[in-house]
Amino acid sequence: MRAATGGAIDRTRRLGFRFDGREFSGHPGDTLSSALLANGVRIVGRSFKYHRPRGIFGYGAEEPNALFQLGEEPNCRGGLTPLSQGLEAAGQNAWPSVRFDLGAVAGLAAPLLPAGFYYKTFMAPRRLWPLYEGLIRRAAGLGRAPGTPDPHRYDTRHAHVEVLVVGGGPAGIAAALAAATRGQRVMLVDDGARLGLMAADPAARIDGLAADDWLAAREAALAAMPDVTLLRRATAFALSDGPRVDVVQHLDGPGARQCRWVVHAGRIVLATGAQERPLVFADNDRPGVMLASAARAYATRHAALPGRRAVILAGHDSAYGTALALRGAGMEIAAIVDPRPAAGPLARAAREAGIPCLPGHAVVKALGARGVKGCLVMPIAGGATRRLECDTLLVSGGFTPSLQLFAQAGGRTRFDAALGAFLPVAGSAPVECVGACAGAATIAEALAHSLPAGAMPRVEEAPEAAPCALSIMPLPPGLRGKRFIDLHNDVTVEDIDLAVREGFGHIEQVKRYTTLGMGTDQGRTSGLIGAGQAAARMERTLAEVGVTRPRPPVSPVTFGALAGGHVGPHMAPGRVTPIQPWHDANGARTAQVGSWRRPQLYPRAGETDQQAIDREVLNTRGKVGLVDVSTLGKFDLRGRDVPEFLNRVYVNAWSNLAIGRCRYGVMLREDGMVLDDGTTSRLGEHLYAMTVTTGNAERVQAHLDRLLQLAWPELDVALTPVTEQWAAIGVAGPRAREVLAAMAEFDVSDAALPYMALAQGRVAGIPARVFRISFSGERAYEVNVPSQHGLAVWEAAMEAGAPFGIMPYGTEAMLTMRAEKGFFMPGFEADGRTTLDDLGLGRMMSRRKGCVGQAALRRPAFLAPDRKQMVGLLTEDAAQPIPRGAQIVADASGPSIGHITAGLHSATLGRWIALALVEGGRARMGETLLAAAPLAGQSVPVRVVDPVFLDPEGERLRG
Amino acid sequence: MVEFTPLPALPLLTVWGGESQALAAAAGMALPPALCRATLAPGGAVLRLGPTEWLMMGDAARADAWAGLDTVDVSGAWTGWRIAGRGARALLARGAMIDLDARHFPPGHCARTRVARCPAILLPRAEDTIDLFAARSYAPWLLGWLHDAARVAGLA
Repeated sequence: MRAATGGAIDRTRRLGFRFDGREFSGHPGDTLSSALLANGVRIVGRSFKYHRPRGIFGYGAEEPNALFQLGEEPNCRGGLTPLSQGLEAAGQNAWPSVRFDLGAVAGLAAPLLPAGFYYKTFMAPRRLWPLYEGLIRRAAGLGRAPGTPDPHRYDTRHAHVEVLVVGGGPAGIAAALAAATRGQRVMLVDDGARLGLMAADPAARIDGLAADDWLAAREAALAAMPDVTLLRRATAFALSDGPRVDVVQHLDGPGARQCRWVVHAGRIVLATGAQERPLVFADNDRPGVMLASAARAYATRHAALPGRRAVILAGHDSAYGTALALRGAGMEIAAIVDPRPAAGPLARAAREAGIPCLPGHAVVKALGARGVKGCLVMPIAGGATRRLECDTLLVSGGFTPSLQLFAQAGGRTRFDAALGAFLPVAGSAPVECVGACAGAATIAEALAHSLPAGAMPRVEEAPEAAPCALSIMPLPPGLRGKRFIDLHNDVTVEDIDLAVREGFGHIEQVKRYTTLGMGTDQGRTSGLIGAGQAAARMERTLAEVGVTRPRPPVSPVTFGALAGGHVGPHMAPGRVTPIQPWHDANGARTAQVGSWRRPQLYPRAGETDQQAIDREVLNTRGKVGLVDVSTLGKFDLRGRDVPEFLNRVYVNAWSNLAIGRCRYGVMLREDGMVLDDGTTSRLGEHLYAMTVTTGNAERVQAHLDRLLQLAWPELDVALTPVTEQWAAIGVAGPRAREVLAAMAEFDVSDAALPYMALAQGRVAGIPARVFRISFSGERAYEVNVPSQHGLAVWEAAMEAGAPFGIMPYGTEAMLTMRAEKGFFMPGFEADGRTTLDDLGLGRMMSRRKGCVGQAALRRPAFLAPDRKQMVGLLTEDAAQPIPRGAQIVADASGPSIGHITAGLHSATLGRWIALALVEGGRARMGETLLAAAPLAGQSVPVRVVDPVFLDPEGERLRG
Repeated sequence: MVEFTPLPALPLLTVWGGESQALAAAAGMALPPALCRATLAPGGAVLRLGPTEWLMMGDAARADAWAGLDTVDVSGAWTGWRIAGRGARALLARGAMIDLDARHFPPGHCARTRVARCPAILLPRAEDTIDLFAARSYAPWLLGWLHDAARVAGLA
């Protein structure tokens, strides 16, 4: 129903919208929930488990019932969704509609669906789990997950402020003002469309003004300050170290739909307020049962009345204020039922206004299946029940401080018996709590938290009596009806009792067993009541039992807001080498490998992928190939102590590396596992160039930087990452020297530039470093030139190589050739669990010096003979591929004794080969094992062989 | 509104030297007084990126000026754009975590940080102008990311 007057809505304009296919209209200033209330819609959803009809219950993030499917997005809270022209909303958990829901038969089966039903029912047999999982997934969660990509865009902004205030009530506004006037950058975040308060006393005045007006004036003052950022319709959903607070802000307009603010704050003030909690009685979930504070917010802010005639169950004085406000807005108040024997001055005001009051009474049951038609009331001390007629039943059980962010900051709480709730312990976290979340019960107290004594305004408001200690109303004998504690997840008083009876002795266990507080409302209205009930059943105090720990996010956040601009092609950086334009122009198939976009192969028309790879391999082995290896990690090392540094980080010895020579090395992690391999070359007396694997470049840099800065600051070594500085071009194959000779302005004969040597000079006119190293097993030269010249030198090499039959090759051919040579690769064979000896390189370890990781290798498990060792595998039939991801077994029914790390077609050998890690592999040479891929239904006999399939003597390398 | 202008290729030189006095003697010019500070000159700049790590740009990047110190040519490692306009700082704050407020990050400051996960060096030139140097391999992707972010933010 729409009140005749009042509310911050624009009555001159209408906004049409649809709910479950029916047409309605509202006004600018409405939310979806307020517009539905104004249109008299009572059933807005079906409950999670029993499919009971549900109505609007709350106003903001605490809403457990009024959750809507808006297009593809589920679980949109109606009170936080501004009404817009053409809005299409659908109720959830119902088919065909919330008014006629076939799933409601679940209600008939309710006795069969106690807490833990799914855990108990879907346990055995295990082989049926895939079926069970499908059933449980369909039953779990409200709403429908989107089936298409989110069409909206989301913005992300980093903000730095001296003071961040979360919550725009009196304490928050006062705190922001106090900070802003000191010239600091201040941000104030509030999840309502406008800031403000919901004071207990609707007649409260500050400095002679209506409290709302006084605050509105201060909000306007804040908005006018250049260093104050007001974020409205914004929810602070996570607080983490830094300190940093993540906020999601809903935006209007044509651009981004939401903005996630990452706020770095010097000081964080939490003015997160307090959440009204309900009182629990039989059938307290009927449409028409609503939080009193929510009803008041709808009536005063949106002129939307939840009904014509209300009974209010008041466990807190503010409900009397609400009664007065609602009556002012045009609602009839049938009675205020208060379990307490006496209330504060607001109760007197209500009585004097002619509202019937029933102190010492309780509502024990709501009447009406599809919406409240009345309620049963009885004296709290016992006695006969009587019926009150009403269409709305408002509940007010006191206020629970909202401390989710405080808890995320690591804050501790203590139980306050007078308030019946947990309060923050000041100083237990690096954030401040002010206002209602810190226990302020009145405007004056809240302001006093934020303002110095001299700046306090004069506040006139009614004082309050203590709230009702009882949250769950008695259920008289003979009366039936479910008493819901958690409306979102359909958790009843009986469910909590059952959990305790079954032995769940911790509130976190009770939560997980019953799903208490696990809905999108995160238990805002139910957590404390559920914990109280559990404590009573455990015969302990609530102070001892405590409440569950809130985790981020405080409120649901859409994935799009977390991803921000990192979606689609912008998801993660795709690095390219300076030669990428040539690859793109010459038909390369590129793939993202780690952070890099790299050419995999250069297929020609009519070729299959395998044919292209085979051609690239055979051409390199027979003539000459060109490969872009600019992605390799590269470091410039300078200083007197570089040899000592290399001795410490590599397993082998480096003291005797001559100028102009290269050496292969392997690095270990501190736990002894192989970290990386590569070559380091000596360019001058104190100048070295190190190369590491593409995918490991950043990891190795962090490893080396940490060692230099923390472990060995005394070493004279300057480590400069130069991956980006150098383009690297590999020229490999029997004719590689001729190609290089055509470009180089220096002697590249085998005498001048033997295997594992380097030369410096001009190549294609560009100053270059040429390393004679090989990852293909062929004679190969790696030409490094400054990146800005990389493309020109590549093109020059293609031209110079044309008479020799040069072809580019991609990562697939490169990986094939390394497997033919049995070279291990980090990420494949060196998978973080492999030692040097596992890779067959144990003899590389120098015993004359120590290195990082060496000590760890003395642990007995690293010397065990049945460790997985790298071996080669051959199929009996050369044309038989080895299934990818296959496990190695000794016989068909035996356990896995190893796995394939690379299985591929070797064009050079004309057969399929594989590398594998197999338990005690080197002792199994010649044995026949099985490569089994049960999911693919494949099992292939394989013979264990040496992992070096080609040219074990390295004759091709030396030419 | 934000405009991107590619910066001309500049000589860049990493210089390692702990004692800024020794450096100053070699340079014959004023050096940034503290970490994350830069000295700007018409033909170049000196950036103090680490306790012992300096980045010389333009005229300051002549290796012979730094005799006796470890110098590494990194001219090919970075790609630069001048990002200018009233939304320049706001746009960069979409991807960079550091405080870009003109009062906290004025000309004379510099930062090596990440922008949209890409290694970058930021050198403010004026209230509405910041030079962004991106690691070369990331540069094409980062430029695409920034243009997209500018569209989403209404700064394009």
